Amino acid sequence: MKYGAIYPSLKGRTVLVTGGGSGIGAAIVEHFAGQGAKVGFIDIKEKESKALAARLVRKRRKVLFEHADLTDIGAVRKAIANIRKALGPITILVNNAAHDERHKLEDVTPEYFDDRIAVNLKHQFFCIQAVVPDMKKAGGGSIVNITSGSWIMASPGMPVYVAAKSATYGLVRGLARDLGPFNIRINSVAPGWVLTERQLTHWWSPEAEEGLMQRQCLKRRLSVDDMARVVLFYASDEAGAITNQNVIADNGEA
Amino acid sequence: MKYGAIYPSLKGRTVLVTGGGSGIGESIVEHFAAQGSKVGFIDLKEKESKALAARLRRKRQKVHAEIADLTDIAALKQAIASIRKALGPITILVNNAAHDERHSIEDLTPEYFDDRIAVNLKHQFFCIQAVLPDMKKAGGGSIINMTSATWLLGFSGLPVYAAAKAAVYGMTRGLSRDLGQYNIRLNTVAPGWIMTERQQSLWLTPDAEKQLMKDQTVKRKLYPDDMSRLALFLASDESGAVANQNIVADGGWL
Repeated sequence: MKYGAIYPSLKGRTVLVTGGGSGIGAAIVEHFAGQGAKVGFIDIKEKESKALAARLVRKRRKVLFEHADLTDIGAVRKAIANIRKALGPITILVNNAAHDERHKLEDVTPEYFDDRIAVNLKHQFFCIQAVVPDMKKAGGGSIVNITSGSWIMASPGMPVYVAAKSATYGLVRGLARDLGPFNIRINSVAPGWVLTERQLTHWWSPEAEEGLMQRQCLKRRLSVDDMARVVLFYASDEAGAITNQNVIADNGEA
Repeated sequence: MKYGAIYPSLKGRTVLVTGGGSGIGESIVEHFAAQGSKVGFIDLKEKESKALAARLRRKRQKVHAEIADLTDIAALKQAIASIRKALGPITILVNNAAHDERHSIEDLTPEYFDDRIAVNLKHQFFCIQAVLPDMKKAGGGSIINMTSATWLLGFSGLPVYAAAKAAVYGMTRGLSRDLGQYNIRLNTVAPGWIMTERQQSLWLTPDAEKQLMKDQTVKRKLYPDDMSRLALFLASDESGAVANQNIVADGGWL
């Protein structure tokens, strides 16, 4: 694609992206900023996040990085309050932060279980809780929870991650009717295997890619930009009829 | 929404829309034409189709109407050949034509069964067959098959329509892997209750509307434009990672 779409309904909106410092989240931050949205993002990675924010500010984009550990709900609330103060009421939320650390059924302790839920699910709920008053006041909003194709494809080797990610879709289904009367739409996006830097260094192999290309309908790699473009649409008024849904963006693998 | 999105990847593309003369199809034709696409549409309704084409031409938009009965596959092929000749190779197809005529199980004859399949399913297959060479040659394309939420919601009073519309999704799943290798994406859109003129005059009563507002999570009626905006996204390169999927656009009903 030479040039992307322009969504006038995103211009000037305040967007919160969690885990926006690297990977898919960084692409989401860039794409919203490119639409003229004001983007606040929360991440634990200070160096990458500051570099991203600095790069976008140099392009005169409106971005604000808040450093916080998303498993610390008190810190999340404070970070969101800072973003609201700097950029105004938040009417778009992209719950993106997650970590696909591998783990074996046998090795998982109750503490590690709680930790995976905290890293992959719990902050999504509390970010929604924190921004809904802004959305109600504004007369509406859009929430996009990033889930994962892993629970649809039955991916092995990370059962608590897979369970937590399926629960982010459960949150969508469990909140859509409560939030709909306030014109707040909530959907999830399930990426396939997006070859972020982390994926390339940790899990990629020629054989793995060959298998992927056999499974996918489309014989191309998924990029972080592919995911960001889907998120833009779901956040925008263009998707006004769509709520309570999960969209799989995986080149047709599932 | 004051103004809609702009998709540069749709500009100059040749789009085929079936059933483009009225209802959701008419809105789809209008939306693609406004993006600078060249739109050919096929419809049985001569008066409405000609009026639509004339109206868009006055706006200097590129449209071409072909009057044909889509249950006549030879006529369908001829109409597509005429559109190709007038507007160039077709790389976007929106299989929209359908009819939700009610029928009960007791009265149904084998002939009527075949007729409902012909009206709601068969032409979708043959339109895909007819545009496939263009898409292969162009290095890719996007096909959007309009299905319906009726079979997902379990509606009564139109069983063969519901079966045919479910088969539209089955066909999408059954072709995606064959066509993916040519960079052709197939997806379906499942509209909820869309307030076309036909629906408003035939089925919308105060009681039905009251019930609908309970069923949908979003408390507003959906209109053809809501579906068109989704069709634009799925046709455009913005949705490059989305293939082999069904997108439910029903205001959160399902």
